[in-house]
Amino acid sequence: MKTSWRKVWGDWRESPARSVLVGLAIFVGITALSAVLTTRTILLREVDASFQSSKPAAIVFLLDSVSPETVEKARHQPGVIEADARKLVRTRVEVVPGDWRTMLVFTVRDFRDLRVSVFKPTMGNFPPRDGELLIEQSSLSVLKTKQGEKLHIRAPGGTIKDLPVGGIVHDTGLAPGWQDNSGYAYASPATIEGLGQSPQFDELRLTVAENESRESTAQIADDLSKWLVSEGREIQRTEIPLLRHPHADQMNVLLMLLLIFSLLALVLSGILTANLMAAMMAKQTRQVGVMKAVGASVRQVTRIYASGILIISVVAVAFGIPLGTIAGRAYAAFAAEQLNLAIASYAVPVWLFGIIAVFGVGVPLFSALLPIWRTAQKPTLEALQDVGIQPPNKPNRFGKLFDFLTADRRLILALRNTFRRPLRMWLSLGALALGGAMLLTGVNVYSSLIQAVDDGLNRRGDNLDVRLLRPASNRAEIVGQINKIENVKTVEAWGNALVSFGLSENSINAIGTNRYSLLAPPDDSKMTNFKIVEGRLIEPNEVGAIVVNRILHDTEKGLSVGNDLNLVFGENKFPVRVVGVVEEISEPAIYTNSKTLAAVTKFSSQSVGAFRLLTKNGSESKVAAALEQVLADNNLIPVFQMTRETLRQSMTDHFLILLFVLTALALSALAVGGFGLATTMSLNVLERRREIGIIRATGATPQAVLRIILIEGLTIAVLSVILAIVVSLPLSALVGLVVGKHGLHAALPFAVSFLAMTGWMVLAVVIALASCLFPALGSIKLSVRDVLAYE
Amino acid sequence: MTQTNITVGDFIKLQNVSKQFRLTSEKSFTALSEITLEIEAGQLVAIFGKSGSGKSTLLNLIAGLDQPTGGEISVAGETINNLSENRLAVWRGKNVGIVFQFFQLLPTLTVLENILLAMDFVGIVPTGERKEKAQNLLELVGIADQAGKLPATLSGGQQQRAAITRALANDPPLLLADEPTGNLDSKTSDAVLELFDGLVKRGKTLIVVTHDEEIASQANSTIRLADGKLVKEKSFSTVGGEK
Repeated sequence: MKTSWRKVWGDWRESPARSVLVGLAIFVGITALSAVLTTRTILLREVDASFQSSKPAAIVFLLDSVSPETVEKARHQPGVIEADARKLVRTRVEVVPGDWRTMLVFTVRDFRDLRVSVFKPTMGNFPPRDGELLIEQSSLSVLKTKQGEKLHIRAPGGTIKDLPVGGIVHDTGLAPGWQDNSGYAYASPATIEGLGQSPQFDELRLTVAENESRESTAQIADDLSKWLVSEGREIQRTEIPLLRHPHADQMNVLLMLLLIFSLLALVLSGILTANLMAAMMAKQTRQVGVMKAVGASVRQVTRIYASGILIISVVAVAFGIPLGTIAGRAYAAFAAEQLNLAIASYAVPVWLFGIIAVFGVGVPLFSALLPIWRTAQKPTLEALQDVGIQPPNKPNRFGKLFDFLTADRRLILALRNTFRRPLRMWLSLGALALGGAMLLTGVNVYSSLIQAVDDGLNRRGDNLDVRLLRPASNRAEIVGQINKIENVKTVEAWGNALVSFGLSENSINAIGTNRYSLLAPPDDSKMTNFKIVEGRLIEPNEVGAIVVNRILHDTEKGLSVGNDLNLVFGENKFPVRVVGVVEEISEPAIYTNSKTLAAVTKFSSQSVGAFRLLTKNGSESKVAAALEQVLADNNLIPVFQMTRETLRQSMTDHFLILLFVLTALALSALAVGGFGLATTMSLNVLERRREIGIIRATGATPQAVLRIILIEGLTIAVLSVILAIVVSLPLSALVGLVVGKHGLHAALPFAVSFLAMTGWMVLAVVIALASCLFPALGSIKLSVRDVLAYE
Repeated sequence: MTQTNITVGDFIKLQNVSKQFRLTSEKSFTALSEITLEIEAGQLVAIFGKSGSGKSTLLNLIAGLDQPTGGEISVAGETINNLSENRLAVWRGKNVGIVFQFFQLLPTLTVLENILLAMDFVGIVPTGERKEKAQNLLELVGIADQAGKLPATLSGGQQQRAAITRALANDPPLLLADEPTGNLDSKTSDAVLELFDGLVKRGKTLIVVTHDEEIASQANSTIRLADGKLVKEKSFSTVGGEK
């Protein structure tokens, strides 16, 4: 049917702008979907693969010593795949004068023979020379350093030394350094000895054959414990870490949001296609009548018009998929950098392109079929006698409202014209409003996240959180010294210890999970304004009760209120009960009182393991620097130090990324909506060309005609603003619920950004005016005679 | 005026055909009332009457473009008043060629392509022969040199000839023309009439709705309508004679 292809070509070529707009709309939708699916495919595969490529330790023993023989023998134990020795030294680095950061230094047995907790060189010396460090790449920003520079280090015991950065490595088994505001470094035993530390390895790290669950790994750990004891080794701690990337959950949420938004953009392009096809078929109705008069069946007519959309969709998909794939890979690379991942492969399975192509062609085609079929089905005579836009045969139902709103007949004419093609108007309006709703939702959720963080941080009551490597016994003395620091308003001394949750009841030693902070605020603490989400807080004299924060509750299993479990500290187990879950902006943490902490750790109840300070606004950094000195004078090393501002900044920086991505998708959707409105307005003007000629013939100036058309466009803009705001409210609540639960582990307050609404109003008006301007100018360019003769 | 049954043959047969149009839920308008007539094959028949007399309605019913409210219509042996829209389109493609008053050529196709499209829809002309046949038809009507042009570039007369050629594309036995010279000057009208005459001599049945006395005078028979009813009229057929 070669001639029908010529008709298809001729029809679409008749309005090249419309054809391009349809193509662009589908292209934008498919590019967005393609980008998101590419990112999703790569990240879902690579997050775990990257983490596993570091050969993370399934079991970590802290022993009195780990010799090469022990390591070698361990490799041959049942259930063990690989074993290696390591030592961790927590140091402090002065990144700028007065600003100290924690740096974890891993002493490595053999850089050329890494068996567990593997990392890869990216730059510089590998292995490092004695007396120099390798820095993990995600720590460079935290430590404010680069290869070749020196780090000013204070080690436990007070040794201070400047060590050069000999090279950079990438360790995909670690969370990025910005997360805890800590750096990671790797050194030889000789380098560690130079920092006044024992070069003796004390960690035995193992990977095991069966690690489907921690319980099965715990069984292997139990067997290994017995073997180690029989070897004369003293076990100080046994840990079974969580074997997954710490950000896996948040990433899943983000990817799901992106997928939803990109699907909405594609749906919008479908709505636009339907709208444009309805308009095109309105113009082609008489030609459909002619074709049916000369013998065309409904199917033949449908096929002709559907072919046009099919070709445009195929072309849009042909360009959209490659571009979307490139964008998707670029975003995956960016996300990998943010999450400290290593992407081994950016490959996307071919079948995924097939699915995208099916959507990209199917959605517009399906959307176009209804208006095509409706016209093709029309009785032949009715189609032949079609005169395009019909004069109304009854008063407009909004007529009284318009009469009430204004006495200006010109304005009433414009308002009535807007509603003359109701379906077309609602489709254009809907598309624009949906794009606006997506934009508002993205900003509202971002505002909610910021507010949640601010509310959470304000609730804490402190703006400087410091935790010690080892507890100090002279609590009162140190508190007294801290109180003398300028700008300190309040200081509280807390108990603190790193504990894990017991995994095995019957093992010969205590086997636990990852370690988490067990914090014990003073009974009269003013900095524990917890938001309880389940259960209750702890009574001052209650022993054996703990409260966990929600992020910990979501991370580790078995922490529901009422559950009994063991806390493991070193080789000791202590039974506790979870009595409450609180929501806060913090890393995973456990709360108890000083009595329980003392029972778990055997520390004196007067010891102090952490300080929470409230300083005058803006002085946290200065106070932190002074506090560092006070602690150093007392031979204490902070293992964690975070100002409120630093915590807030690191969280909001990542929310900004979310906002950026959601906004990009929303703007894509708005572009589609704008295309739709532009085409709708041009068709509206074209259909009413003769009417416009009559108005001009009866005295309307070109400016008056322009004004009428612009008002029509602005009316749609105003309505779309209102509809977008209405739709965005429940959409924001829903997205906020998901992001809060899985991203922040906290309920997000419902926030509405009035700035975003104002911006959206301005944007909608700009889009509407831009969409109307060319058709409006076109309507006044022709002479009155020509427009009156238009048919 | 008395209702008269006119019989001039049986290629086309209308039996008590009526057509009403609903204006509102209570009001309707009778465009045709109890029309009974027969038309022989190979005739030029003119349907004559004032504006609003029902001429175009009658033509549309014969063409299968519209359905009667009552009665039965048979064309070329097929009763068409109960066929579905789709089946009517298929039937029309094979049996009827329609020439519209305003030509109704598809604007984005050339003259030749307008004819080829009609052949493509019906599918009875073998694919390999379509182009040659279309060009022959254009030569027959005298516009072979306009084959590659778009309709908007042709004069009214040329467009009408192109429309006639399209109507002839699938060699239908019946041609229907609604005011074919309504938008043409007298010279062009004469040329079109000459064409019609030639087609009738080739055995086509041609029914023309017209105000043009010239066409009416050349017709083998005339059907006059007034207020939706048939009026007794002379037949100029050498076969039928006055009834």
